[in-house]
Parts: sequence; structure tokens; C-alpha cells
Amino acid sequence: MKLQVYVPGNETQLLRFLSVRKEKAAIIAGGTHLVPFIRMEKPSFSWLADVSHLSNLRYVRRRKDQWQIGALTRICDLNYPALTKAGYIVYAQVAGNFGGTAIANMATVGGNVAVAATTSDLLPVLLSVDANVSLKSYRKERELKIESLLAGEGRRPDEFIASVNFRVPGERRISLFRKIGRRNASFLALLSVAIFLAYDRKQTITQAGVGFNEIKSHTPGRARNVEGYLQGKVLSKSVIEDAVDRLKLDAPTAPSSEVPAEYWALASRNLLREQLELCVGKMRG
Amino acid sequence: MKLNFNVNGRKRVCRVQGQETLLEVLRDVLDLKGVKNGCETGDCGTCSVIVDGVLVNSCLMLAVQARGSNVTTVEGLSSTGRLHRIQSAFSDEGAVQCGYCTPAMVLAAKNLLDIRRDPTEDEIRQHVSGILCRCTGYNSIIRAVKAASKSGRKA
Repeated sequence: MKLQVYVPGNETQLLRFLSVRKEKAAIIAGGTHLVPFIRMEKPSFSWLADVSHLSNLRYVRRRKDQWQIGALTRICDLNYPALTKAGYIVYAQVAGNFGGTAIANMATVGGNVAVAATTSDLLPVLLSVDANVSLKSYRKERELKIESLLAGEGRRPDEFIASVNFRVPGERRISLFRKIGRRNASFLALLSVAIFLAYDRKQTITQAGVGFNEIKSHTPGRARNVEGYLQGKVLSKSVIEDAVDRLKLDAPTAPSSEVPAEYWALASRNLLREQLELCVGKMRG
Repeated sequence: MKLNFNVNGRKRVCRVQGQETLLEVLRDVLDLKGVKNGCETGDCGTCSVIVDGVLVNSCLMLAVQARGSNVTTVEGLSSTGRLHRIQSAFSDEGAVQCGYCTPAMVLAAKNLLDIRRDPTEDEIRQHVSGILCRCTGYNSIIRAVKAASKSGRKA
């Protein structure tokens, strides 16, 4: 198997290339997923577009009421002080726990979204903040809810992920991320949860986001029943217990090979309870 | 395709295939056997090298992606025939047993100490966390990095 590598000079050249090659091309940036895939599987594509040098796609920035993260932003870049200061400590938590240093230095935000694996630490976070994905092709640009992307309304072969974007609601926000796996450091998540809460002066929750790395049909997803319940509530012991009880409605419908249903049921409840209790502490502050 | 890059301060030109990794080119073409081939999936970290000041897994990087870059392998740490102070610290602290992870550990330590002269223990542990060692239990490695940091500050 021989792969041809195309190195676009800029975004326009990349888009033109994708519009011609379509399914015959794959995009490589960090390569943490794609390189082992190329070596172990028989790829259906014969071209690689190497975009790793397109530094204009590597940014974390705020535009009015929206945060934008460029597709080529490395996971290590997510430990970004302005994000943390704005209440999004969750990104620093992901950056600090994402594989080893070398992996965090290489892996990109766009790659994580494109691969959509249940081992991704970033997807639960992006789901919890209700992020959109900006997709570009030669002729047009469109925004898609990350949830829709993961649910199957996927990227077309001539599109590439340019950025992920999410709105910043209100003044008071908490975000937390936690994952568990088979060892203590540099590990792939068996189960992970990200929580995002926006709340008012009376600590009433105005927006709730709860993302898991695996839910319902074994894809990363949102615990919609928990989110719906938390909306308009003030976190208390009984509210947390009720929220945790609702998690069973969002549970995977069939056991997966990695995470048996009983494990998911028990561990996800404990993770959610633990993180919501931490939120109470942070809200009171 | 033709790959132009700098390896350990020396300009190199190689013919590479699109799917060839940096690991393969460093070991098999340039004969730099200090870059170890472990898992080839980014799990063990023994293939770590420094590319433009950034620690990367050379098994996960295509060789063509290193075009125009400065690559440092463990062979590039010392050009005088004497051990680099980090290598000496690893030796002094007994941080080497089977030695398979050692080149990567030494490079991770160098990369960290280039960024932070006096890292905390947590920072050291975090920085080497992607490199697996099945012999030392890590503590002697952490001691060695601390010792190298101390000797670097004295120098």
C-alpha cells in the first residue's frame, strides 16, 4: 500500500484538493489515530492531505459571546488561562489527563471530533457545552451541532472541520471533567463525564450540560434526562440524588465489550454524583 | 518523496514513502537506534523524540510531516563523547535498568528542563507519564530528573 501525500499551502488549496479527491483522501494533522490505522488496516483512501503546518487553524479565541477553537489546536493548547478564567476549567482538565505529554502535544481538536471515539476525552466536554462544529467545503461553510455530527449526520468527504464553537451563557459558570480507566496516568477512558452548569445569583441552574463518553447507543452523548431535570433547580443533596436516578434513562441499551452494563450503571452514577457535589462546593465558593 | 530535515544538528535528505513513520526513517534509514520501537500505537512512548522543541511519539508521526523540522534524538544530546548531565543523573540515580525506555525518558527530561529549569515533582511525573517503564518503578527516574535540574541550575 502506497499513500500519496499532498501538502496544501493554505486552506483554499486544501478545500480544492478535497473537492477533487473526495473519498480518496484523508486529512492528517496530529496523526495519533490515523497513523496506527494506516499501518494496521487497509485504508480505503490513497491520498493524505497533511494539514499539520496550517497554523492559522490553531487558535483558542473569544468572539463576543462565543468561544472558537481551531481544528488544529493541539490538546495541550487547551490548558488556556483565559478559558479557565471564564469558568471552563474543564479544558485544562482534559489537557492534563489526555494520554501522555507527547500525545497531548500531537493530537488535535479537529482530529478528536472527526474520529468520534468513545475514548475521546474532548467529546463529552464539547457535548456538555452544546458545541457546534464548523464544516467547510470548497463551495460552502455550515455549522452543525456536535451532537448531530456524532449521531450520524456526518462530515461529507469534501468537507473539513475548521473549528468548534460554543456560546458563553450568563456570568456564572462551572465546568468539570472526570474520567476513569484501568490505570492512574496516561490512560484511555472507560467512562468519563463532563458537566457544564450556568446559574444565576440565586444559584438556580439556567443551563445544564452533561456529556458522557458513552451513552445509549455506545457513542459519546448527552444525558438529556439529567440535563432536563437540572434545568431550573438549585443543587441540593436531594436534587443531586434525583438527577443521578434519572441517569438510568440515558443508559446504554445494550452492553458493550469494553464497559459491561452493570459497570456503566454503577460507575456513571457515582461519577455524576461526585461531580455534581463538587459543583455545589464551587458554586458556594 | 524527498524529505529535507535536520537531525541532531545535521542536515539530512532522505527518500521516504508517504506512509513511512518518522520512527522508521530515524531507525532504519539514519541508523539512530536510540529511538526505540515499542508498540507503534503511541501507548508506550519509547519512540519519543523532540521535534522543533516539542516531545512527540515518532511512531505516530509520518516522516513527511517532519519536513523542515529540527529533530533531536538521544544520540544528539552530547557531541563531545561525554554524557549529557541528564544522562549522568540517570546513571547516578540508578534510573536505568533494562534501558529500553531510557532514551525516551532522557529526552522527555531534556524537553521539560528546556521549558522549566526547576520543575515540581508533579510536573516531572506529568511530563514522563506517557513513557512506560516496567523496571524502575519510576521513582529513580523522578530523582534523576530532579538531580539534573539541580545540576543545571548550578551550571
